[in-house]
Amino acid sequence: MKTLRFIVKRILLMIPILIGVSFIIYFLSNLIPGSPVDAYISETTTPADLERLTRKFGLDQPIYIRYWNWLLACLQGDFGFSFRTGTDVAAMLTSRIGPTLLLAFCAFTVSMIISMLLGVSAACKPYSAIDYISSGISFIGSGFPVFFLALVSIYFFSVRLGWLPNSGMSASATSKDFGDVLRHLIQPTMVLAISLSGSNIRQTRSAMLEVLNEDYVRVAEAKGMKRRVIILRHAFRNALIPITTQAGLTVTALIGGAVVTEQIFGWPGIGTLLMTSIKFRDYPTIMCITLYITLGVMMVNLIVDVIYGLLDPRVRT
Amino acid sequence: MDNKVILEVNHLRTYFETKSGVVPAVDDISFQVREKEVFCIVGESGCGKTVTSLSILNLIPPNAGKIMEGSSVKLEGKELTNLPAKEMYDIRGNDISMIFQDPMTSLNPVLTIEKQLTETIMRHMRIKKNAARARAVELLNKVGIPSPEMRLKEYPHELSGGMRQRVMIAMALSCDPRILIADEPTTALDVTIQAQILQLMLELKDNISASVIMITHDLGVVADIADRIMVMYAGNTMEYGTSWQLFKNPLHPYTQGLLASIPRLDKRVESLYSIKGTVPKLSLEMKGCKFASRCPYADDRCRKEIPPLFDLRDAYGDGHKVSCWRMERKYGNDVGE
Repeated sequence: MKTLRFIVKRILLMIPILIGVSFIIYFLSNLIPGSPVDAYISETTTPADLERLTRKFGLDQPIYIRYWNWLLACLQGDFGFSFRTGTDVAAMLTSRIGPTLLLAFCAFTVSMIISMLLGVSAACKPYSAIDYISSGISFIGSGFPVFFLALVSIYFFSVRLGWLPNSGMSASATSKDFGDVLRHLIQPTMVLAISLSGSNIRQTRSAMLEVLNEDYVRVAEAKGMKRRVIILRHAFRNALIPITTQAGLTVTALIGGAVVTEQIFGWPGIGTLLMTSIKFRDYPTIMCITLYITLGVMMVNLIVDVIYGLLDPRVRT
Repeated sequence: MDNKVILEVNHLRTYFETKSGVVPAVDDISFQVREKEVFCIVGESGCGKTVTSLSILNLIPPNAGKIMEGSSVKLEGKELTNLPAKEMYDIRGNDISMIFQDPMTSLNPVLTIEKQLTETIMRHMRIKKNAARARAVELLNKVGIPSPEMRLKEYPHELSGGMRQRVMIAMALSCDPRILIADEPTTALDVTIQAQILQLMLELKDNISASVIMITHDLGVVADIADRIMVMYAGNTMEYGTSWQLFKNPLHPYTQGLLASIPRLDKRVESLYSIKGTVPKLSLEMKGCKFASRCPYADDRCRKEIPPLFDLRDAYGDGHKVSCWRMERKYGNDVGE
């Protein structure tokens, strides 16, 4: 009951935050030099054409009026049309959320599995072979930029070995074959997961090391509990609290689309769309994506807070 | 008073490897604990009391310190220092259990009191969950925790420090240990709670079959509870004897200094007595008596040669052992007051 009230309160609190964020982003994106009209300039455009386009997009009005109109439309569920493609922004975004969330979910899961397995075993046996292997992987993950890892992966698995496709989400736009999507998913997932694991492994290891030094672990040892029980029941359950924090940060980083990874692998996600929209000064799309990211981040934070409550009885009361 | 010996520690040496060299935290300690007696180890912070108790349980962190060759810890004749890890698991918490210093950090914050109590009981007594629960209730009653049924469902943060230490004591007693090691069980508590916990320990002492190894720096605690006392300083034994011998006839300058440092209400003094100097940094290069640098009687010989433990006999019986060169000439004679 208490948890439910907490969740409702947090969700209500999201409304003013969303409006505030939209206000800031609207004004900031307006500060980017250039106007969406510029993209339409060709050899045959006349100043009259530009004038007409400016009026069509509503850009002749002062910014605060434009913001107000946009906000009113949004509250009625109308996110406007893209300046670039002329299609409904909401529909465009919806088609991109699926691929982004699929990639985010896979990369997150793989990264968490890698970092928990390696981090926990490294912490249990510091300065052992497994510890050095896990530091090696985490150096690769955080040391190499993701585009480099992606290119190396493409070079080996697509060019040299020819095992995996190097771009897109499926072989043809119409095919919806699950196995095909899976094959396209492997490379971006692995590259992203290893890159994320860089810091996740270190975090898990240090969280676990810290907990293993706690007095209650010594007490559990003195009680004669077996090593496995001490590690899983006494230490890991406590280490899960900082690990959850780290996992939350990882998800928030992924939710807006992994821009570089999506670009390199031609993944039709939100990251790619956001890049193009900014290039074209496509205000309605930028706004819509930003609001989606804001909402996503807030939801993830809420979920993380609820999980804290489940993990730590001290938070519950 | 001469009951069967349960625990025998001989020439225990536990060394730690640090960046600045090997630290002999415990250097050649020997003592015996008899059935149903309360054995106190006294000394100031850093003298090796806790390391001694962890060494008995073979719980020295493997990458930090090591129990050296030639050390021996025998529980009813069974050597523990080289026991396989699996067998040691069965002894910890079952035959030998331990109460730790700080109850605020000794309980796992994410597990209920019930879980932490019953896991030990189920582990060692091999009984079902319900039976273990009943035993947990009984134990909490024994250590004076009101409405134990309710307390079992709570988490450590819902209990006060004194309550938590009572839970720790219940946990240590849960499998009827032969030996209970209490490592400064009252140090982290405030004074009124200290008295309560000590009172509880005194009451329990007569009701349980365990021998107690009480580790403390508080001589007041020792006087109340101890049968036999060992005074430690810088990893060495300074003096060893019965409670009467040490309090009525302290022979080592360090013990004398400790006793003189107890503040007294019945005498007006300008300033409180303290032993001059600080505990020396331990290293293998140290020669002679470890206390020599602070001892008012120290001479050249004290600084060069380690004094052996002279076994003396005084008005309070024999077995009064003192590691001090000043005892050499009294060796074998009565050294009554």
